[in-house]
Amino acid sequence: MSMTTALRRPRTSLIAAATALACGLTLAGCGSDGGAGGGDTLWYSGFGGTYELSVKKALFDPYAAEAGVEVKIDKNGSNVTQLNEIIKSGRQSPDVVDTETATLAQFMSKQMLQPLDKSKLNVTDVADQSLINEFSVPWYQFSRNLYWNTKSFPNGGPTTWAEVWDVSKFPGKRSFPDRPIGTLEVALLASGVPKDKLYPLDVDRAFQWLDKIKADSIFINQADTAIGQGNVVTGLYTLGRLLDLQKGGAAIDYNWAGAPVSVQSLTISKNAANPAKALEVIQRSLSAESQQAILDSLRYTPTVTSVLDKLTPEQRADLPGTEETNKDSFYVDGTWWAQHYDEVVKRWQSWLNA
Amino acid sequence: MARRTDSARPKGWGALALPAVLFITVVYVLPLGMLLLRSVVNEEEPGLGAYTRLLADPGFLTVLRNTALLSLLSAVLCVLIGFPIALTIARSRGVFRAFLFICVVTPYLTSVLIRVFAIQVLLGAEGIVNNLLTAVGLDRADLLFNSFAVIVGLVHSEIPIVVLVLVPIIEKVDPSRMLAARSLGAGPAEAFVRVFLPATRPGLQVAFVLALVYSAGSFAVPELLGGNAAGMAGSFVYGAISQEGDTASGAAASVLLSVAVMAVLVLFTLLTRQKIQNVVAPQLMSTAAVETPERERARRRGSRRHTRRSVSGLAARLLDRSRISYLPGIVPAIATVLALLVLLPQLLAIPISFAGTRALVFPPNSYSTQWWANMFTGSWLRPLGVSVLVGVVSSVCATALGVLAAIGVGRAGSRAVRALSLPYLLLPLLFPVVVAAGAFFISFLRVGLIDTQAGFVLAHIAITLPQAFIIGYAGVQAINPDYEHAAASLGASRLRTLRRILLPLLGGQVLAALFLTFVTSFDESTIAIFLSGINVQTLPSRIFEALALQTDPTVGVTAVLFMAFVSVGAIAWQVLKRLRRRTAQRTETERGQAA
Repeated sequence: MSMTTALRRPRTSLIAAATALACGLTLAGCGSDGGAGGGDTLWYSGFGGTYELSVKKALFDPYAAEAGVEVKIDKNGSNVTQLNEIIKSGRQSPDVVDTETATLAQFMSKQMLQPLDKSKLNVTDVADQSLINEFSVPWYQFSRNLYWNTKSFPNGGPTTWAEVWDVSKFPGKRSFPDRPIGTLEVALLASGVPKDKLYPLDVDRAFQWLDKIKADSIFINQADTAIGQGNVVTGLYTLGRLLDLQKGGAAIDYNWAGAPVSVQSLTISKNAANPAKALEVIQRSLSAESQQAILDSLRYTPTVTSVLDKLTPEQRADLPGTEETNKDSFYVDGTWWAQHYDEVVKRWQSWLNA
Repeated sequence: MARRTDSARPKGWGALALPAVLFITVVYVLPLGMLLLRSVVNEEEPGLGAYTRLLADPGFLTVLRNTALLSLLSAVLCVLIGFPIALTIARSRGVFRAFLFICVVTPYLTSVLIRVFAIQVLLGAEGIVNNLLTAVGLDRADLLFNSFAVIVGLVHSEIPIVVLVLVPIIEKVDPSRMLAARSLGAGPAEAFVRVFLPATRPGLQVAFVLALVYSAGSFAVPELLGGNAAGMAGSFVYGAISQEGDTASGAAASVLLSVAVMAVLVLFTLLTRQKIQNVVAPQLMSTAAVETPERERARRRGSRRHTRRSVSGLAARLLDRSRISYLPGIVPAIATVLALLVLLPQLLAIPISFAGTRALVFPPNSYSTQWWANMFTGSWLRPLGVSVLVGVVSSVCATALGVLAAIGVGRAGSRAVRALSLPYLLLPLLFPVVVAAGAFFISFLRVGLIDTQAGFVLAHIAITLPQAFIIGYAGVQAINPDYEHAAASLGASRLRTLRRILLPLLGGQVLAALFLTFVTSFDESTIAIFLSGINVQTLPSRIFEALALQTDPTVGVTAVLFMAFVSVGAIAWQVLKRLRRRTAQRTETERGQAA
């Protein structure tokens, strides 16, 4: 009976208060709905990681400070299907989308972009004017490169894609991006297709060659950990990330043999809430300071004459899309990918899981 | 005593379960319905198109095979490893028991992502295992991004649950049974196999099925440890819905995964004659568990199993003859080693959090405090704040709804209400979380709840409400309804009875429910990863990003903070318990003196 007499009143009221608080908070939570909104925010869709840090420092931080705009960043820049879903459903989409050759072509063919208002954009400094189109202005050129672990191969790693495919000569796991763009191309190079005869891609042949190496490979979009830890010993990876890993002390080296090169552009997606601000960012991305900062931090090749002209021959010999490296590398054909991506990616996913 | 005939109950409290039932219907069942609908109603492949395509796709079939094989193997290993630990915990007292508990519970309360991180460090090319291999002159082995890594991850994730399910059941086995067996001439191993093991069978069955079902629905482990070589259904659903925007495939795969899990559960109930509640809410099975062995033995008498038992009995007898089983402390020794293996990977996070470089090398080449500094920048503090806020709001709401529902169902006027609403409120525990996450994603997208705090709170209430409900229900069952009768007969209104009798008596359960639902929400990674966006991100989603995008030792810092939080909580709990016990003893002695 002592239990019932010892009924603790404070606790009862505590529970009542907690319940009331809970309901209140839920209502408050539901009321203060998020959404990037319009006004003073800018939504940028990029790729995360150290790339995001570099781009923020080179472009978005100075822009945000100057324009008094808050920049919100996601990592879905290369996710064409997801963005397409957003746009089809009529929801707000990113203001600025970071695109490379192949994704740009897909965005354009699926009509997911807004045309740029050229009357408000000064593009005279762009070196290669042929790269400018209705929806995009080239920002920088970048590459994915053949890398190898120098600890695993102290006497030199594989130098060609055919050698990457030679598992007995260079044993160990390989890494490739978990997307077909670039990966099918290097498989064809490994099979002996010359780099100027790559397109239109012989998809069957590419998968045939990928089959040969599948058991010795992982297909992973973010391979920093695997490469840095030495879990994989050679393969294909974004140059900027490779350089960053090198800086972090990872024992890796890379070359330019059969490196897929792409042109990167900032674009404005269809349901952007703030296209005017997006255009300001694009203008700023073409400034000499911003391009120089990208060059310094990511080592990607500028597109404006004012910075290009200052490059030394030594610098040019180790930058994507310069005359010097173009001898070994090749350009990804965006038009081909725009026409075939949807069908290839279905086959790719199924092949990957099987 | 708590069981009373219905006529003796006060008028039904069933209405109290209504808010929870409504909530589950709108926020959980409806999205699941949308998911099912989406798998058959879509532009590209209307009807069963998505299903027929998936089931003809060799890639998806491999995913299904991986899911079945890897989760079966992990479940078997979980029980094999978990049993000796649970046995030792059940049989020991004091510091040793607390130590084993901490070994097992710390990983349980820290995010699955942190455990995955620990395993990445452990199994990497430069990880501890490989360094040991090379130290003894063996070749490095590929331990990551394959089925092996996934099994290690799954076993490590599910062992705590297995142990927590087994301990109370083992504790209920009457030790005198073993003594009786021994006095009749059985050796320790034989007595164990023929007397002890059968008595714990219901618990073993539940533990096995739980590990199996949780593994089959797991997402982060195969996604981060399996690479493309060991994709499972969970990672497939994530890839399809969240990455490729292929909702039709994702929805169809979710439906298939759910059907498979349901089939396993139905098979389980048919084969073992246990209730499905025992699996999703092992806390409620206490009474059933003690009764079942007796009933089961009666049922089994003369059955074919008899021969199988005598085979294991023979093996046990051989073991006894070898005298190995007579070695004192052999089980505790095994249990200690296993428990340490469960705990140790996490401790690697401490040196990693002070690493000098980004690469996950153990031991680190150099040391720095940069990752600790990084933890206290907006990029990590903001998600931490969101997690705390979402955790507090959803735990308070889930506890309020769940405990009220527990009173409603526990004191329902009609048996039908109880029989229907009990399993209904446990629904969120039946479906794999990755399926729920996909359902939330698809339906929240339509109403603009993705990437909002409200969306997180609603989803987290839905999945934690059953936990609060279970805890509350166990409490309600233990309360003698005479208290309410007395109050009612003294003229107390129902509201008054609720406020002055039931809720105060359930105070302990309310606290426990608040704690458990908060920890669950705070740790929850699957839904968080689906619902996070540019505006709102929780800490687990931030960790996932760091693990998936790029090596980031800041994850190690979060792991250390998690562990510190859990240890403080565990120590506080122990101290509180001891204090309470002491007060109880004192009152008893005082009462004794008074008498």
